[in-house]
Amino acid sequence: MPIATPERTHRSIPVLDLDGTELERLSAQMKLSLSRADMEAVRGYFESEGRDPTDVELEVIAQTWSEHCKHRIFGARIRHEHPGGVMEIDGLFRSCIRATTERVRARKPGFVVAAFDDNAGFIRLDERLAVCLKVETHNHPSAIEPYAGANTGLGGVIRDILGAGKGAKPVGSLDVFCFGSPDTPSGAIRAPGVIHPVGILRGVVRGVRDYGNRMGIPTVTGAVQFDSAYIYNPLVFCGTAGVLPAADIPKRVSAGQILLAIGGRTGRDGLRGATFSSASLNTGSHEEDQQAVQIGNPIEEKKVLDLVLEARERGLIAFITDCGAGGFSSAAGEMLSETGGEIYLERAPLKEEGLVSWEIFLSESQERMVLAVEPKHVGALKELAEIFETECTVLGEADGSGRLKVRHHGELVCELDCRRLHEAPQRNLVSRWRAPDWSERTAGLEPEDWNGVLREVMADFAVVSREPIIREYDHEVQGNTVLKPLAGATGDAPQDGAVLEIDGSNRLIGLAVSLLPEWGKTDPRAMGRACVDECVRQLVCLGADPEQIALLDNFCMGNPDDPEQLGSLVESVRGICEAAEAYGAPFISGKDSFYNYFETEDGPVAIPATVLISGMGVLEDAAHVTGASLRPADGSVLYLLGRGQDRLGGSVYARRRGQAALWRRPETFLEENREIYRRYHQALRNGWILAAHDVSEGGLIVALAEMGFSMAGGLELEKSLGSNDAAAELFGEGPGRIVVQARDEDAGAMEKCFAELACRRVGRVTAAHRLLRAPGAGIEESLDTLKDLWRNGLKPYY
Amino acid sequence: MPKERLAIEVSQRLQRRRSCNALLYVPEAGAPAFHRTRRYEFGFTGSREAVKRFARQVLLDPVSQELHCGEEAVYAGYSFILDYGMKPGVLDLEKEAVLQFHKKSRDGLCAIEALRITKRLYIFRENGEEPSAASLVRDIVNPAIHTWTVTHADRDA
Repeated sequence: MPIATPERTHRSIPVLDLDGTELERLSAQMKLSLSRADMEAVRGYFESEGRDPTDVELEVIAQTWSEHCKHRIFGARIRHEHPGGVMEIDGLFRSCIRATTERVRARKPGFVVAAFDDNAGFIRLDERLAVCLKVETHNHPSAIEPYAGANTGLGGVIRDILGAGKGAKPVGSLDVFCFGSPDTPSGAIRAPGVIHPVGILRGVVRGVRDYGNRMGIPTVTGAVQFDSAYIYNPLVFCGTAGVLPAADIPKRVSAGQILLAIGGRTGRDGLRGATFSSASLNTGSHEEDQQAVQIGNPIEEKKVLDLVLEARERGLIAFITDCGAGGFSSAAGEMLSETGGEIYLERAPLKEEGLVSWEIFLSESQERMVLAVEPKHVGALKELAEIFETECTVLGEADGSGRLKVRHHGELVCELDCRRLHEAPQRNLVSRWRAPDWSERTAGLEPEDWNGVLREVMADFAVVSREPIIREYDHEVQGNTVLKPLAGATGDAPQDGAVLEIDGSNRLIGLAVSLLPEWGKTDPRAMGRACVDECVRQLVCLGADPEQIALLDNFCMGNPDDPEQLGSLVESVRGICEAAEAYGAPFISGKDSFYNYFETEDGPVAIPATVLISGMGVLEDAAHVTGASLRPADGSVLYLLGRGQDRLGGSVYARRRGQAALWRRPETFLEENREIYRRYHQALRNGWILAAHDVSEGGLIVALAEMGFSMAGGLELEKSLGSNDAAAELFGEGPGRIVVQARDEDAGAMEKCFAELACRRVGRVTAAHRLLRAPGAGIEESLDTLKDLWRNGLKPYY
Repeated sequence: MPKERLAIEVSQRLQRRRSCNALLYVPEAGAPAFHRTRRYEFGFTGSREAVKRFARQVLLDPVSQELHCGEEAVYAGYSFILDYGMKPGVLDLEKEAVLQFHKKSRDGLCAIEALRITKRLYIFRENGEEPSAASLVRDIVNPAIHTWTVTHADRDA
């Protein structure tokens, strides 16, 4: 039975006679999240139309111009003051990120198939197929209701992949979280109603689990960071990779095509999600924003997925996009942005009675997609909807008028010029960055008990195993996960990412992620460079060709209206762009999340500028897949590739000594690293690499221990590793370094391959014991002991 | 409006009383213990027996669970009961699944028109002081999506 709406479903909102202050007040009353300048632009638009807007039109404009949808901080004109002078930036996205990608694309024609102009970016896998990746944040909803927030975060990004090209097939997901420390005392949370980090952790992981597992999409890689900065504003990144014939990537809406809504019904859940996610949280958020909490239904989305893939195979789809933030308004606005067209709201299947026009048009109810199809294909799509037990409704049509017209029970409730709808005023912002006053390390801080330090670092939340989380996820469904998140002979040793086979291709894809929020607190540019390096390095370790790597950037920060905080963002963008260009790794997609700050009893708490770099790399042959766990090869040689440094800033070691913010961050030697990665891949193709692991949190000694967790052998390090600075040598987290295991007989060839580059023999693998021995620092620890510390660190909390 | 109401509670036969620390984010010394059940409040027209039969068929695993009809508490000796469930208007997937299954079953003897599902925690004092509901409500209930009630044993008497 269709559910009806009341006859009077919209109202006119007088704005033409309001001054700036009154417009601001109206924006606040209606929760539009539009600034005074925005509201004045709205008034200007309706002055030219000669009428006042309806509530539907105001809501559509607010959604379209929201930070979530329009990325206006990244489009803003920014005057950036930094130690080297002043920069005028005409849009961080356009002049930095996109410009970097365009320069790399010019050097690598044909590699990037689509970037920034679809729901996800695509790179070429082989002659027929392309692969895509998209990562979204769902921070604010996850802070309010962790299970539902993360659940729908993953559901939303899966729909992004379904809406990429003419419908890509999701093949694997990733999840990255930043939470407060699990051992945070309850009394340390200085605001009522804030959910304890353990509650956030449990809810978020279960939310991701229940959506991914039920959809039959493996969750294959990820990361978790714990820091008190994230107690009030947890960060939840969900990503999905997909595959599609390259010929099905271009899509276009033409006049005369029919718009179909498929999937779930429309209700009040998730109203104003786009504007909600563009605002900061406060103690009232948990009560007031209930409508912005969406509830996911993965079974419904699975039906939609099956329908879309079948329809695309049959050539029925001209254009497809998902109903994300902004619901039909966003989807129809995108689809009709060039042609214009009409939408009939009374046709939308509803969950409940009494929804007024703007609620139907803006609702962010989940599991809905909108398709544009030729009229002759409508019947076939309705038949498919019957087969897959979902709903398929004709919502409207494209008409070539260039205007978005929305009707409800015969009344025109919204009519906007499509071109002008997307012309949000450009913001003007000021940012500032000052380099911190670094302090030098002093000898007095060095410990005497290096074994104790190693145990301490191994049990740190930054290092411990994510196994309790990983085991919640199905990482093998679809049967294509070649390198799993935990592997090695014992099936529980950490890897640098995941590798997936792609049906119908001899090539594979590697997925990896990197984020270094500790670095971002004091040196966001160094963070940006190091994050790109780590992500590329992990993909190279997995076996990806360093010339076939693409990246995604996801930024989260506190208050962009604060010049100092915005300065961190600008510096981190500079960092990632420098590194991406040097490595020839283009950005193909990205997203941002602002206003991650919270008003506590002690004042506002903002997160540090946090950038997540996710990467996707092509492996040309399954034989190139390389794990991070030692192979049982007695006498095999361990090499350390990459230049060592005496800097410990940003490391776990420094943080545990209270010095993380004071010590200088290591450099990222971009050109040198790129050459090392190129030669590493050469060595891999020659069959000389048995195992490889990147040096990251915890430093070299932790990387070596983690390699040993496969229990395939013990590790005997050289007495001298080339430096007298044991702390920096063993616990420094300088980028660009890879530990490699190679057979003794290949040692000569390896050393020749890396001639003139930083490549040092650091030890051997032995079958004689299961110890980690570093005689230079007097370290001798059982791998069993270290593994227990590492493996059990998170267990009490999940 | 449904004419009749029926409350059904499903308990676990194999469940032992457990420490509430399993439910809390920060463990407490002398934490109370709990038993957990699920309650289904049906609004229906037609045969009460048909609703009970439907509940037995659909909601119960007869090997590991027991079904109780009515308002009487399943466990005795508790300090208080915490009931919590989804707010009206928030999607409850279990409720949707149960109602859809009932619609498809077409038995004709009853029509289930409303259903509210709640989780019920019976909280028991263990060695410590008389338990307080505050920390349990804080860590278990989310005001963004849940409604909840706390019923103390002395008020039941």
